Amino acid sequence: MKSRKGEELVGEGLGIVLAIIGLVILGALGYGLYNLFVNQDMKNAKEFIESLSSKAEALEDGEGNTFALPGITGWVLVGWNKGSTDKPEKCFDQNCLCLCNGAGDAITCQKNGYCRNVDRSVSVSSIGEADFIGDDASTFGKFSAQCVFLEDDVLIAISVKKEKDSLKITRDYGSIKSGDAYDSISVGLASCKFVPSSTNRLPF
Amino acid sequence: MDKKGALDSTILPLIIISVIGFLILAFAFYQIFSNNSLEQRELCRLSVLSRATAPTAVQQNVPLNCFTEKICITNKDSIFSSSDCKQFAGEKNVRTVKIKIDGNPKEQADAKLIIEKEYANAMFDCWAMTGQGKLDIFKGESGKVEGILSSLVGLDSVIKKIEPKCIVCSRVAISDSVYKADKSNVLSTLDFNGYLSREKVPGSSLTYLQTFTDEIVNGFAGTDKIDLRNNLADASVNTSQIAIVFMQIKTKEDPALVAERAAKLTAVAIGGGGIISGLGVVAVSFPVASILAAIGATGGAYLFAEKAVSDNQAVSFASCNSYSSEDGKEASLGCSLIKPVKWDINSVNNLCYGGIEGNL
Repeated sequence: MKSRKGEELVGEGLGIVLAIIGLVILGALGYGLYNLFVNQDMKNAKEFIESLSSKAEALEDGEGNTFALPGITGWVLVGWNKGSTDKPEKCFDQNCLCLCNGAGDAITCQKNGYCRNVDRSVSVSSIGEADFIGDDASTFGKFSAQCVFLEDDVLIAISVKKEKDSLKITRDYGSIKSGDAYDSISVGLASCKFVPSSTNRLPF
Repeated sequence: MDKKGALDSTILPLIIISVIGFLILAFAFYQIFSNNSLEQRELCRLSVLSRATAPTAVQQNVPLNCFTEKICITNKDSIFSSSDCKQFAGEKNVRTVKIKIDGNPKEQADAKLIIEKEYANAMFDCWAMTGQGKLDIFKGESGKVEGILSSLVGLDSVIKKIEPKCIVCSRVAISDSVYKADKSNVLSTLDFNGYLSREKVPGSSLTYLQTFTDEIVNGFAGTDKIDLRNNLADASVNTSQIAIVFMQIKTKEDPALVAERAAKLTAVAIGGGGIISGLGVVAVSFPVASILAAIGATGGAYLFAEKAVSDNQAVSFASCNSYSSEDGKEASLGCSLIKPVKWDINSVNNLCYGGIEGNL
């Protein structure tokens, strides 16, 4: 009788151990699958902001460079400075650089964004110049916005200029000669103080 | 009481053995799947396979778990090691390869071989982990190129249907310390073609060239030379590195009709820039082609070689295959290509205007 009870105990003990091992393996597999299939864009966004911050940190004061970074469709790079009232709470009261999904406003960045503190004032801007004639208007002159919109999964040139007290991040679109391209850019930059190029209606 | 003690002494070793066994297994798995480049290549290969074999409807939801390997070739005497390549400033997962350039002929010969080997292996690894051009990785013909980029480069509707997408397998850079130490111009004597046609792939009886192409191919045409130094030497640290890129183009049009077009696009991709026309199908306004030495229609691997007119000389390997849809009704032609390109925004985006997947 005691021997049978002992055998049962052995079985139960081993069962518990195997169950724990099985659960650990299942957990690891679940984590692996989560990493493999979920939120690739989120991972890319995190990589982007970390890579850009590290590259900026690696620059000496007074040094500048242009980096080729991969675009992530629909994400917006934006910077906030200490004292700014409308920045995401996750910046606390620090200068910070954020990559946000969808728009460059504080609420979006708080909910769907990655932020990194910066040890000096930061400015993020997009600049370019339109020069084309559409169906009913000509568009010309410079445009600008206080963010960088990332589109397509292609490489994007981001210029970084580091000074003793400031970090300036710029994307230069150069000369835009197509209405479709300009429209895409203006939609992307709409959420961050976009100053459009001039438009002249064409005479009928 | 004694029996209970005996039972405890039976259970305890079993539990200990089970736990130790589990720990050993876990450690072994950790070693296999720990964060090194070999494992990353395996992960990438698995994700490529998963995507290629997934049903079309869910294929785009299967991410490519490919990470670009960064290889920094630096001088043994350098004290900075991994941070020596400014090209990778602030980037993670940089693998350092040390060479010694000090005027000693033997050391220089070794250094030359190491550099050639790194590029050859980077191309081979890229070719192997992306399925040797046999897998349809980027299924579907989404209109991705209809965005800003297509307008900027003026792509026409035909090209929109043939969407070149890429994976950047690796980026190889040579540090400033090597350039400074290279007083006897070791870098200018690199013979990459010679290495590919002479050396065997580790663990194989075939040379790199035979592996990439038909086994009967033994050498390059005399004019096809790669000049790594010209590719690497650049005033800007951003471009003094070479990316080994996998590109795939595909169309659902009749493979027979589109073969020429795909061939020309591939030729364009292999080349550099300019306008390509002729062959009576379509004139494509896109950065220039060089001479396409060879192209295959379907099946197998084929060697494209170029006689470059600029400093962008590089051997590339391509394979064209006909892919079938799940129901077998629809065939599409795809050409896959492994090409070393300058890590420069225009060069890479022109080659991969359908998008880059994976983690750079």
